[in-house]
Amino acid sequence: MAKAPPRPVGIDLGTTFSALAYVDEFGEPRTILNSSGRDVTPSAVLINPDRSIVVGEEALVARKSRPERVAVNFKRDMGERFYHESVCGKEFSPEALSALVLKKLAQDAKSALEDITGVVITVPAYFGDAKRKATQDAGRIAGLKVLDIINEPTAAALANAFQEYLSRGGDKTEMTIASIATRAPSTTLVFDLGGGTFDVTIIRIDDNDFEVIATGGEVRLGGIDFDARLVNYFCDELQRRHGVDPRDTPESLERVRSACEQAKIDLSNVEQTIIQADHLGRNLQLPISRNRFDFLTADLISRAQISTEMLLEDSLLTWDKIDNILLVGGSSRIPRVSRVLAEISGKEPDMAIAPDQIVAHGAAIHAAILGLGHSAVRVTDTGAKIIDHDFPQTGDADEEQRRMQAIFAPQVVEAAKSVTLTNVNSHGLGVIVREAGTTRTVNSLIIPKNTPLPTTRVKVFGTEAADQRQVRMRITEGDTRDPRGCVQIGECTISQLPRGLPKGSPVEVSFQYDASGRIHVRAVELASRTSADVEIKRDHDFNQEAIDKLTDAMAEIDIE
Amino acid sequence: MNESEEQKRPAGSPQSDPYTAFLDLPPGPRPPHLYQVLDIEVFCPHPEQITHAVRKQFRKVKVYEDYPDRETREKVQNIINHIATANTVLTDPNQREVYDEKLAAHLKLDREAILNSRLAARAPEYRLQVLAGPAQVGMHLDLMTDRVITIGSDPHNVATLTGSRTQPMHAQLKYLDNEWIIRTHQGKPTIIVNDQRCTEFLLADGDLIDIGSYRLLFSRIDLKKKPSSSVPPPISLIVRQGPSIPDPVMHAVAPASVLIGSCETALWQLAGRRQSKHHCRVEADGVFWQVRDLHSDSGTFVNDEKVRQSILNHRDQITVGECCIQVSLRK
Repeated sequence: MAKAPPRPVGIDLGTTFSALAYVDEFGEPRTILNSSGRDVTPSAVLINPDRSIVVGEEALVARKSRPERVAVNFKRDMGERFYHESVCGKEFSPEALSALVLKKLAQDAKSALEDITGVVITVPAYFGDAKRKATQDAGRIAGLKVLDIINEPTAAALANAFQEYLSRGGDKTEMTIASIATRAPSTTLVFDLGGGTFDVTIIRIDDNDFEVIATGGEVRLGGIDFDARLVNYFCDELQRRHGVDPRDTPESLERVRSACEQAKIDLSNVEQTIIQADHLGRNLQLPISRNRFDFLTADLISRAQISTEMLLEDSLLTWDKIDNILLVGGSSRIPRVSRVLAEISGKEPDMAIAPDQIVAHGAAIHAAILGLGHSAVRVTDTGAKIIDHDFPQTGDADEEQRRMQAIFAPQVVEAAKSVTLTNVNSHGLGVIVREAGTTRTVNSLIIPKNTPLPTTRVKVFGTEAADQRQVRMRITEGDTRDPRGCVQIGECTISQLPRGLPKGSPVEVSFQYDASGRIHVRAVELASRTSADVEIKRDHDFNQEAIDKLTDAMAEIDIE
Repeated sequence: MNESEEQKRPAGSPQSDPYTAFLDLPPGPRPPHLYQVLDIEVFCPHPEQITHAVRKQFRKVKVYEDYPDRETREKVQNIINHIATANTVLTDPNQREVYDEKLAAHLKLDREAILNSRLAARAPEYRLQVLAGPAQVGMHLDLMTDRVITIGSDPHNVATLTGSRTQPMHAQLKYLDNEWIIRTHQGKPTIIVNDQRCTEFLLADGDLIDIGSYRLLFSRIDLKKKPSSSVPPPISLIVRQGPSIPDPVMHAVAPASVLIGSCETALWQLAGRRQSKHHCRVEADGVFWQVRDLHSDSGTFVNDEKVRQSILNHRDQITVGECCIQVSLRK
C-alpha cells in the first residue's frame, strides 16, 4: 500500500492503552494499526537486562513471567520524579517510559505515513500543570515535535461531532470538518472512564465553536481499579479454599490479574464467566457473575457518579440542560456505568462508536488543524499549551503549511479555519499566604477552577511586618484553603523593597493565562512599585539539557 | 507571605490518622462506620442530608488526591472509596436496611429507640409565622431540623400559601450545617428577605421573608416570653371598589407591615393607573394600626381626607389610587 504524505498526527497516550491516528485527505480520522495489526497498543514497556526494549502486546505477555522487567500504568505517576518501582533493577522517570511508548507508536505509524511532522498528545482534562508538562516532555524525549497537548474529552467531542455527521450518511466527499457546522447548538456531557483516569466534561458545541463549560474527574479511577477488585476477590477465595495467596508472588499475581481483566471484559457481554488461575500448583476456577462484579465495584462507579453530579452542581446545571451524554474510554463498556448514568440523568447515554480510538481521532483532527496553520485552541488548560518553539524548525513554516494545504481537499482546509475551542482551567491557582491575625498559612485562591480562559485575576495582600524588605510567594495549584491540598508549582520573590514600609503595605498579585496558555504571575508592591515576574518553575522539572540527553539516548534505542 | 519562616505542617500530617487529617473526623474506632465517615448522626434517615454529606466529605478529601507521597495518596484513595461506599449503601433503601441492622447489632444499639428519642429530644428551636397575606395569617409552624419545609401554592407543600403570586413550588427551608437556609425552587422564583431580593438566604432570628403576597417571620421560639397584650388586633384590608385584582383581601398581624403599591416588591400589589410604585404602608404602631403615605403621586386618603399618616379604626376606608379599601379590625 502506498504511504500517505508526511503530516502531523494525534496520539492518545493512555494509562493502559495508547493509539495513534491521522486525518486523511477527506478529513476523515484513521487509526494506524501497530506492528501486531491492532488499533490500540498496550502502554507497557519491557526492559531486558541487555537493554533491549519491547513495547506493547509482547511486553504485556512478558509481564506474566518477568513482572519485574515490565513497567505499566506509568501515566498514574506522571509528574513524579520516578516510576514507583524499579524496572529491571533501574529507576526510570514516567516521562522516559512514556517516551518509549510514543516512540513505538510513531515507529509503527511509518508503515502508513511517509513521515510524522508533529504530534498532538492528549491528557485527561483533570490533569494538573505538572502532569501536563511531563507529558509534553515525554513527547520531546521521544524525538517528536509536540504541537499541542489537548484534553481527552475535548478531543472526543471534536471527533464525535464528525462521526455524528458521518452516521447521518454524509457524502464521502463532504466528510469534512465543514460538516460539523450544520447543527443546532447543543450541550454534551463527555463521560470518559478509561484504563486509569476518569474525566467528566461539559462542552457546548455551537457551529464550529467548542466551548468547555466545566471539567472535573479523578486522576486515579479507571479500569485497573476494577481489575484490582476482582484480583482481591479471587485471591481471597484461593486463600480460603487452598490456603495459598498469589499476592505474595509477583508472577502469580500477574497471571491472576490478567485472568481477572479478561473476566471483566467478558462480563460486559455475558452475565457470568469464570476466572481461572493457579498458584503454587493450586488451580482455582472461580465462577463470577455480573451481579457479583457490580457488587465488588459499586463504590468505584459511585465515585464517578458523585463526581458527575458535583460537576453539574458546581456549574449550576441540571440534567435537563444536557442534550447528550457521550461515553468514552474502554471502562465505559461496563454495563452498570451506562445504567447508573441513565438512572441519574433520565436519558440514555450514547456509547462513542469506537470508545478506545475516539480520543486519538480528535487529537488527529486537532493536529491537522494546527498543521494547516490554524490555531484552533485559543488556549488550553492550565498553561499546558506550549507550542514547541524550541524545536528546530525543519524548513520554512509557510512552505510546510502550503504543503499541508495541498494534501487536504479544499473544503477541509476552509473548515479548519473556523473551528475554535475555548477551555476552562481544571484546577484552581493561588498563593500561600498567612491568614490575617493568625500564624496559620492558607492557600488563597486567585483563579478558581472552571474559569473560562484566557483570563487575568488580581488580588491584593498586605506585607506581614514593618520594614519588610522581601516578599516571597509560593504559587500553588489546588482548590482548597489548606496548603496540604495544594501542589506548589512555582515561586516568586520581590526583593529590595524600600526601607520603612509599614506593616500591611499592599502587594498586588496578578495571575494571567496568556494566549499561548502560559501562566504569568506578577507581584507589585503598590507603594514603591517594586515588582517581580515569574515563569512557573516546577519541582521535578526536566531542563532542556536533560531532555536533549535523553532524546539522544532514545534515538539509539530500537524498540521491538 | 512571610519570607523567613518555613511553612508549618498543620496538625494532620500523614502519619496521624487519615480520617482525622483529611476529613476532620473526631478520634474514635477506625475504620469508622459509614455514618461516621459522612459525619452525620448514626441512622440519619434523610436521603437529602446523606447526599449533601457525601458531596461535602468528597470535596474535603478529594483536594488531597495529589498528596506528595504515595502512601498518603493511597490512604486518600481509601477514604474516597469509603465515602463512595457510604453513598451506595445509605442511599439504597434495601442495602441500608441490611447495613443498619448489622451496625445496630455491632454497636449494641436499638435503632428504633434512637430515632424516636431523637425526635423527642429535638424540640424545635425556630418557628415560621405568617404575618401578612391573603390567607393563613397567624398560622405558625415549628421547625423540626430533620424536616424540609416546602413552601408553595400547591397543597402538597408543608406550608401551603395560596395566592396569585406564589408558585406551586416556590421555596424550601432546610436545616444544613447547623443553619436554616431558605432556597427558592431551582433558584428560579425570587423571594425578598429583609427587603432584599434573593433566591437563597441563611436565616437568623427576626428575619422577614416575603413570598409572593405573604410576609413570614422567622424567629426563635421563646417559651418563657408571655404574649404581649400591647399589640393591635389582627387587621384585614378588603378592596371594596376599584379595578379587579387577584388578591382582593390582605390580612396582617403585628408586627407586620404591608407595603402597598404597583411595584413587584410590594407585598400587596394593587392594580390601577394612579398607583405609585411604593404608595403607602399599613403598619403596627403600639396598640394601633396606622397608614403612612410614601410620598405617592396621587396621595393616600382615609375617609376621603388626604393624609400623610393616620391611625386606622374599624370600618375606616382607605383610598389608594382607584382602589377603595375597607379596614376591618377584629377585637
